[in-house]
Amino acid sequence: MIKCLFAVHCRRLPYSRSPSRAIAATPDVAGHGGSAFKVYEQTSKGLQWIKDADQYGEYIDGKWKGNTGYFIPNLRRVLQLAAGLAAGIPVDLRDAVTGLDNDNAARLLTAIGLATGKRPGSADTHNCLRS
Amino acid sequence: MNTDDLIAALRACAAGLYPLEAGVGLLISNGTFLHRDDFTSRFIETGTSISDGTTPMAAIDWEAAITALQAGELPCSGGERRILLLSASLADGIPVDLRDTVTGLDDRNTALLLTAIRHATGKRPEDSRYR
Repeated sequence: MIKCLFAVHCRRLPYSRSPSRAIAATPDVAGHGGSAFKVYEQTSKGLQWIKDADQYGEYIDGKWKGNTGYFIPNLRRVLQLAAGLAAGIPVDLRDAVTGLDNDNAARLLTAIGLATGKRPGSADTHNCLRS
Repeated sequence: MNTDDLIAALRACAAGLYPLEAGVGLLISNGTFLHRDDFTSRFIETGTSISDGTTPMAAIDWEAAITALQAGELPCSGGERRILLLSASLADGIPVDLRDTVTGLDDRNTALLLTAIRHATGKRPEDSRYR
């Protein structure tokens, strides 16, 4: 199923998921070491890299993976908040805000400051974020 | 129950749940609705803690309050409406249109919202104006 999924879908889609397992694959743009796909497992906190795979969906064993893209945190909440600010799509703040990590919480505060007319770096924004 | 007692009871009932603390704190810090009989008599229930049998507790029926607000049964200014919507979303998860609510806030309410968002992400405020 995994191989079939890769062969059929991954050439056309930027990101595809196995319907039977919590596994996702995305085309490997760099293509180092014959890798055609990055394969991830969905966890409660985001996507965890498992292995790289070749163009036929065969896993490449023993291939080293650096920190970049090793773990992709769950960005659902960031997307919901961004869509809420930009397009007015209603968002449940109890869920969206409480699940943010520190970095994304800081980004949200900056975005809210910006939405109220305070551009990042301005004195107004600085005072508002501090108060 | 006077307003100060009501505020203490609301905080006691919310204690321990960051988003609920934040939502209640935002509404309290705005300082409008808890002084209005048409709000407190319709949308706040009071009681006594079942753990110690003495601590006064109070809870807001957020859904009923927002329903009344949307139906025009709770006349208020634009800023007060936005704060109630944002508080209800933080405290009770009622979806809110951030594009409308955030962009219409004045500086004071923006600062209160930012504090409430920090609170919801686990950083309780030390600012006495908010608490």
